[in-house]
Amino acid sequence: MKYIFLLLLPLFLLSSCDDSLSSSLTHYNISMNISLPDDISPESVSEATATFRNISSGVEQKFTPGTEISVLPGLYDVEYEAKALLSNGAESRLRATLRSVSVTSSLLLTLEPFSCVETNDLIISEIFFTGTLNPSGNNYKGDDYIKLYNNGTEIIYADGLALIESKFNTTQKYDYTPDIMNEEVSVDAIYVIPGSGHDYPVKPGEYLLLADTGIDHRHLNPYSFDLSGADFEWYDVSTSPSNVDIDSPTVPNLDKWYCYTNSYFILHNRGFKAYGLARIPVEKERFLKDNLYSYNYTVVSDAGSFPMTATAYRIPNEWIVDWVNCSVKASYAWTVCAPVLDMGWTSCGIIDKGKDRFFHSVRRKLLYINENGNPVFKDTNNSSADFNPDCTASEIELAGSVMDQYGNQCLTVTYDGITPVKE
Amino acid sequence: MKRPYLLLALVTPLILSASGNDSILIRMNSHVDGLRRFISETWQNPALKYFSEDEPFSNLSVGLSRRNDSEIITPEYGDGSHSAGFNAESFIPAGKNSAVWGNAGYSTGSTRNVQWCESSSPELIYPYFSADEAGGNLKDEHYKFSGGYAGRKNSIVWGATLGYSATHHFRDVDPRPRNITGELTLSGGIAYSISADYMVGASMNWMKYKQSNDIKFVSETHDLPIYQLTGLGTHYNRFAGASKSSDFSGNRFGATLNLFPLRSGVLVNISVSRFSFDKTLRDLNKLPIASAWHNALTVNAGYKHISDKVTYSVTGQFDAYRRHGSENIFGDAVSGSYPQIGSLEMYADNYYRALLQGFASIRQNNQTYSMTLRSGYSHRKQFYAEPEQWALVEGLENMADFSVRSFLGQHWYGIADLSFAIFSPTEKDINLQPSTSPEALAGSVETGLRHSTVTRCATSVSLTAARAISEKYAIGIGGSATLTNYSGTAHSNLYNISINFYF
Repeated sequence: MKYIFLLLLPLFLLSSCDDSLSSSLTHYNISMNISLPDDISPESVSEATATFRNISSGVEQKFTPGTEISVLPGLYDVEYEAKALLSNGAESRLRATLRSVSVTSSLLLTLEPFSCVETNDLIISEIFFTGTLNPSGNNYKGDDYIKLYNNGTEIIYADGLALIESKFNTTQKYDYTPDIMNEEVSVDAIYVIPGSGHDYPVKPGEYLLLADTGIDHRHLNPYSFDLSGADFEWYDVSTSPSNVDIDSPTVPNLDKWYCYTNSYFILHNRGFKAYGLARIPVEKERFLKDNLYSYNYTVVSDAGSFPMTATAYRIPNEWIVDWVNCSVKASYAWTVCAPVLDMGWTSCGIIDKGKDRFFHSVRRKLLYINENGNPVFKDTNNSSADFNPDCTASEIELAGSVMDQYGNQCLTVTYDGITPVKE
Repeated sequence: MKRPYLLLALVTPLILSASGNDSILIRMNSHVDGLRRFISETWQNPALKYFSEDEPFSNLSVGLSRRNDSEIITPEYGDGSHSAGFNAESFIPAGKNSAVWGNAGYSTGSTRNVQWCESSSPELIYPYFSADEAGGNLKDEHYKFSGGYAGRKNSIVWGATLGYSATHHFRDVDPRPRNITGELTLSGGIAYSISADYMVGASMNWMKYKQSNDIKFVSETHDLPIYQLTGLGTHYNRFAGASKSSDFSGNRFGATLNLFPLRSGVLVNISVSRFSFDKTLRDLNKLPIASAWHNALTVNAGYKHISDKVTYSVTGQFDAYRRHGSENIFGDAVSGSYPQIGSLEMYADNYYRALLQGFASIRQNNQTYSMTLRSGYSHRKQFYAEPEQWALVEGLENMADFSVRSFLGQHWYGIADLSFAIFSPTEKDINLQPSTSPEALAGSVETGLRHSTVTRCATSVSLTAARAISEKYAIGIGGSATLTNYSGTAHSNLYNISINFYF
């Protein structure tokens, strides 16, 4: 065939005056069937937008009702957002998402938007999962933390609030069976704030700092900072003598319900996990008895396919107060929750194991400062839109400590990693 | 470092067997004949190469080369380079009806400040480079070896060549690419005498190309994402940063048809080729992310006249190529495996050029005066499908070259050459759209395109002097300087110097 082609090539070259491609690219039409919740009529929906993000190229296309949706073949993340007027006169945001939609022909997509529900509870305002480096450039462990915030106008009691980590990685997708992701999240660590119900009030505009190890880390790493004033720490009694946790005398411990490790728990410092808050309405023993999740999946490698079995704990979506998917830009594969909890994801660093991720956290975006002088942060259950990625950690800003691997000192304090706090 | 000496050892017996009836300076004068270079398209057919030289001639040379640009003109070639190396070439009529030839060389050097390209052979694999935002100086080593044979029996001449070249590009600081390329070329041809004055010929050629491209970071505190570029400042967003090891593999198939006058007459050369290659990411289980094909055509036809005193030739030439690149698209990666769901042709680079060129030389006593004039029109358009963007440039190319070759007494021989070339754009249209690429990449691409669409003037001077140290041997020194000005905005200086041993 190649030789025949060679003979025909001169004719082909001479006859073709088209300056672009050999043939025009095929676009496929997408039809969308929006299945609204029962309490919302189609007439009450306005400002609808469908966003198609091409995963290969990163290009986003937005479509509004009445316009033809036509896209190149490829793999897409599809998001739908609209405003809805409820029967009581209140406004609500409708959202729906479909991940990894393979477009190889014209398609009819069915989306089931959900109305964003305010939980009126604490939110995660910052996750510092990367940690710091010591002066010799090695990763220092123990100064990771998560900050919670009262974004509302009423006092919220933190008692009984559970900090949870996803079992699944956002960088590696498997077909887990049974698939419970639309109804429940799978977790591998549960640490609960102690208290009888009214012991730990968090006023509007106040933070709650949950630290890995609540000590002054500067004694161990001059590039770190002081966490001895944290509100709580997660402490583990390790069964590994070479890997023991430090129990701070100044910081109370979270109540450990479950953790996958026998040594000590740290946040995933490459950013593969999701973190959340949950109000679990049952006792610890009953939860651990009733909520075990056994699942199967298959690992495919050069050596073949290997069926695997594992376990985690399952928490119904209704118990989740907040959820933040973290990932790595270059390695993101999927979000490990139902879209109703979090439609997006946020990150530190571009590539897996990137050294520039250290000293950085993900911080919730500032919307405005309210009349009481408190910051109000964005909370739309879409971490891609709600969080600023790659921010200098807030505790580094407050301490004025080292903010990068080169030893540069942080001189700016911000609300959200971007907006500076005015003196 | 043993390999350069091995190459020299392989080619030396061939070279040392060369000796002709004429003195070395006469053979050298014949070898550097301007007409031989002017109709160089003919010699692609190894059977016709039999006629390229009348006398044996060999040259061992050691040389230095240096390029300095005032700013980056083409990002993948940096803003300067230097190299040092040796080259050995020989052509020997072996017996009454056959000829052998060979070439071997080694060079080492460095390209300065390469930007947005950590791959080697950019001219072959563009636009699918692996790249990062740091770039830097790139060291290199080149090895090449080739040989050929042509034989004649009655009206038929046949020939074949085999060649191999390899390069090694690397950097000693982060990011540290280590690229190995290999090119194996094979060609075979035949020519038939249709009259006492004319040969018709045909040949086929094949090249196998391979490149392995590995980028490492050893710094404890810093590394960078690696981008897989896809043309005109775009990149494969999904695999940005994910893969530091890639491979390129390609094949080129080509053919030529020739009408060759042994002395004066009409000459025609038609060559076609198709080069196609794939790029795979080794880190992702040899994921084939892109492929491209490059079809090329050259038609060269004209007339040449050879007499004792005056030689001239007038030819028209048409060159065209079409390079189209496709990006493979993949479905959801489940269990670490990426199913391919399609392939999209996204990039095109279409080019054509029409030239009218003439050559004339006059021999007077011990001097030969030569002139080459060339005038033409070229058109090139690069296109990217979505987001739709393009870069078009059309323009006039004019070139004039003057040279004098002279025997200076019995022992000295000299060549002086002066040439001027100008490219004047008649139309240019660059439309780049914002994409998901880093700003620095878009800026770099824009800079490269800008330099390719401005008026470009090149002035070149070269001088060669040779002294016969016996009837069979001569030594010489040669040097050249080429100054290229890009519409007053940038300039590039290229210098070469070599010491030669002719026999």
